[in-house]
Amino acid sequence: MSGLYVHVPFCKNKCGYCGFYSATDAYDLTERYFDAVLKDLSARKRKKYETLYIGGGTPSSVSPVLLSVFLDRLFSAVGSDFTESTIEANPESLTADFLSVVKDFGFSRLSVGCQSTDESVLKLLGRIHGRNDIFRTAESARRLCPDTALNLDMIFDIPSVENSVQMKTLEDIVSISPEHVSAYSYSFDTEYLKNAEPCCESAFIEVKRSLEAAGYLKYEISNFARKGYESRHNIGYWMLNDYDGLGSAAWSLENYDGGRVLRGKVSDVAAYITDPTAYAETDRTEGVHALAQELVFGLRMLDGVDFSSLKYRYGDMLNIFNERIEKLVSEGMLTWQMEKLKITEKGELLLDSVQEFLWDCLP
Amino acid sequence: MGNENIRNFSIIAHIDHGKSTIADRLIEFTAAVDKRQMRDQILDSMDIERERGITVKAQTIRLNYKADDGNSYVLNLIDTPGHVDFTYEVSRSLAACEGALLVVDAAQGVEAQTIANAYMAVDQELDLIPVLNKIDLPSADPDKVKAEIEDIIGIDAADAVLASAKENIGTKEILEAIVKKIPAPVGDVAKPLKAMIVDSWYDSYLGVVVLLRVIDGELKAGDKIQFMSSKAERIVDAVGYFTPKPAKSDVIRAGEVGFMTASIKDIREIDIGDTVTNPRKPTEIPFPGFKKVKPVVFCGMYPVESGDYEDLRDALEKLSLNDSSITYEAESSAALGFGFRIGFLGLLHMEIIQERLEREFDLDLVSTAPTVVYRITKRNGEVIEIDNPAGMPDPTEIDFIEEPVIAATVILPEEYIGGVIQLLISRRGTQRNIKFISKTRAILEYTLPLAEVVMDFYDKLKSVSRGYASFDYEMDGYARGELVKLDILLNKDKVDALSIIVHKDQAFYKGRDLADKLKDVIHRQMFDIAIQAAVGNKILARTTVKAFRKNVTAKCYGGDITRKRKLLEKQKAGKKRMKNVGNVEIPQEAFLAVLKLGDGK
Repeated sequence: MSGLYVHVPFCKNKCGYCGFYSATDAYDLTERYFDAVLKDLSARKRKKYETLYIGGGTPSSVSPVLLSVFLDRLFSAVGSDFTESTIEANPESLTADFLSVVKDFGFSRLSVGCQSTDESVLKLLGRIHGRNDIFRTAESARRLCPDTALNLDMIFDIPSVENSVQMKTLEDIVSISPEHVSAYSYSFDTEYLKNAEPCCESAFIEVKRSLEAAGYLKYEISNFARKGYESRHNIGYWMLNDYDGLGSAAWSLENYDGGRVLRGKVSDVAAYITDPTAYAETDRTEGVHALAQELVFGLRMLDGVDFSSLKYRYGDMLNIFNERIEKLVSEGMLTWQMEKLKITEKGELLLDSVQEFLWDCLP
Repeated sequence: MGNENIRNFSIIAHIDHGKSTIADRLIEFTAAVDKRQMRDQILDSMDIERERGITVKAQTIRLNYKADDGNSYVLNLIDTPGHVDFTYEVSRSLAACEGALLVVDAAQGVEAQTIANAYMAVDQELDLIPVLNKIDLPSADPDKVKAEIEDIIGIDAADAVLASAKENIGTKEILEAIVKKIPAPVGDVAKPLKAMIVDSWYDSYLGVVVLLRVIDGELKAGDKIQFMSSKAERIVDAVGYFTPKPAKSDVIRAGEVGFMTASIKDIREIDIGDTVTNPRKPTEIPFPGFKKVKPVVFCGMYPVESGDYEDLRDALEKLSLNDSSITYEAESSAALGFGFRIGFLGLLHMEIIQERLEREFDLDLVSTAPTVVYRITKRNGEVIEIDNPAGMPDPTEIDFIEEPVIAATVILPEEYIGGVIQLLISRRGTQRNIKFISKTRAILEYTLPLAEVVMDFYDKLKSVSRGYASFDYEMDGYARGELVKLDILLNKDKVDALSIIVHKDQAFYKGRDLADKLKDVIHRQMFDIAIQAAVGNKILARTTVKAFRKNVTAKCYGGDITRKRKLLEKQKAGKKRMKNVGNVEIPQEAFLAVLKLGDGK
């Protein structure tokens, strides 16, 4: 299994809460940027990928012509027979032209950043689309790309926002009937709203219940899908499978016998264009730390971590976690299902603490 | 050269009155140290001493001075520590001198340690030269301060030298006064060797270095000597002076101060105050020696990583090579694992040792609250001493408990008398005397349990008096107290390292306060944490640290994996000072929360 990610680091506007790298004033570099991405690709060893993900930034905000030219060249380099290919879009730029690109290149998934269907919340978050844009574009996506599955993103537990407002968003999203929903609890990737009072209890469980009632299956801490529509590309991240990330601020992961290495590109469009094959950061993890990483990230998936596989690859190293796992099981945070260790609902809410607790017993 | 051209002197002062800067000026003036090597507080050789502006170990330096009378003099400056914890070192240094400079801040006037140190010098029959420092300050009032010196200490201050070490005023006058007013040492080179051990320390090149004041006779390399208390005999390797670096010389003679090395490996072989003599021709009247100092404050120190236990032992062994006043003994705590119970001369001493262990030996330590030595008489007549609350016997076995008390002196401006007396009463103090030393300043004399002083007393006194009160104390025996052990339970498990001994009447509010303080410092975790304070089986207070309701990172994609790993590593590092008891992570602050009792929030 291996994935290919392409970062499109351009946005019309920067949303206060968003921690991903993007630039609002670099659209004139789009063409040169795509050239650089292809150069970056040509330096990679792998020539074939199972999944493709074009993310951002806002991929729908760049010129459809340039995007189309780029995809054409990309596909001629790595082929087009992906088991899954996703492209991200925002409602304000999800135009008919963009959708024709989605259709022409046979994207199997379209992921739309809605975040909320409430005008004032959209404003608070710094979004530049309105409530109606969501419904309108979802409708045209269905019409123009009937074979493309739809994912809608939403955020809940936004500081200072009433719970009822967020549950209304959820209801609206369900009414559109996407195949996949990513429901993120607000996190402080930036300082934005850091000092705002949370207005109510977390809606984490309520969101989960509502989506499950609507026929969605929760398969990861923030991700829900109708059966068979889980994002394979993203599952690759949580299982720490190999992936190549192209573009500014993109990361790649390569497993090798006994460990893995992550490499990241510079978070600067111009600097990336100057030297697209260089890495700004390297993070190597080996032995028991590599094992811990697999355990900790694997717990994000509700299907759990397969211990028979870990045991096969890491052997007795695994024993270091025994005592703490037992503790977490007795506290009802984790549970065993055959050879799989899974997070419980109680544990889901405290996943970060569970991960810390496990990580802390590393030497 | 005869003795008549030698002067042995110390400088004594209250903290911050400028003792070390005056020493610096004297050294500069006599050019004992090259200008290039000159730095502030040259005699304070430890980093900690220089940073904190205090002198911990006694130091010595030989100054050559050509006086106005045309003669050249050798002035031996024996520096003294300036903090109450190190009083014993002051008395040792003074025993090697014939006189001392009594440095008093010309703006602040006489303070508690001025008196304590001056009395010590008078007891040893030293001639005192009053020096009023910081004379350049606009608030300096030399006449008032002279009057204070005369009234309180009872020495003539009419000829006090007016100085400003900062502005280099009065340096020469001080040197002239030393020559004129301090008597030359008496002593006879012809008599059998008689030398007093002033101090000793371990030097990684020289081994144990012994600082000596030679009274009679002389000492050369190759001489056979005997330590009179232990009767041990050694051959002298080398003798010399401090300039301030050690400089070897052929001989040190009666009246002089210098060092000796004699292939001594262990500092514990040396008794400070012991007499060194010639075994074939011993002196007839040895020194009476000093009382061995005993630690009065104890605390447990535990390595954060249990694997560092041996390193901590090695570090303590090395530190005690240079500081024979610390004691250490292995102990184990259910909460903290294996560590040591360490005895100190006082709170500052404790802080310094802890800092040195962490800084010089790179150890991460968790320390428990400081405690004193309680004397417990059991119903069966047995008397035991405990320096750890965990060692307290069952209350049914106890007949009575005694605790160490101190005679405390506080000097303060009158406007703070009310607040300070209130503080002293809240610390179970009883008044012995109160008198005015001028129109605006008073001396309070109180008896206090030592335990009340080791718990955050200095900070409190400082805040109540806005820093204007000065404090000094001496040990004053033991007194009975109605004392009980207060335990802390986390999720029903007793945490032995959090137990404290308190007065019965304070148990309730201290228990409640401690539980609240712990609630503040123990951060939310995955599980609820019940905190209880109890005396015996009686729960005095309870409170709960609620578990997190939600602690989950929503997003984790390609670039987040490294970020998350770094965060996990950082969080793990942040817990280095935490100890796990059951499934509760206890931060280091929790063990010191007890120090902050009664602060309010």
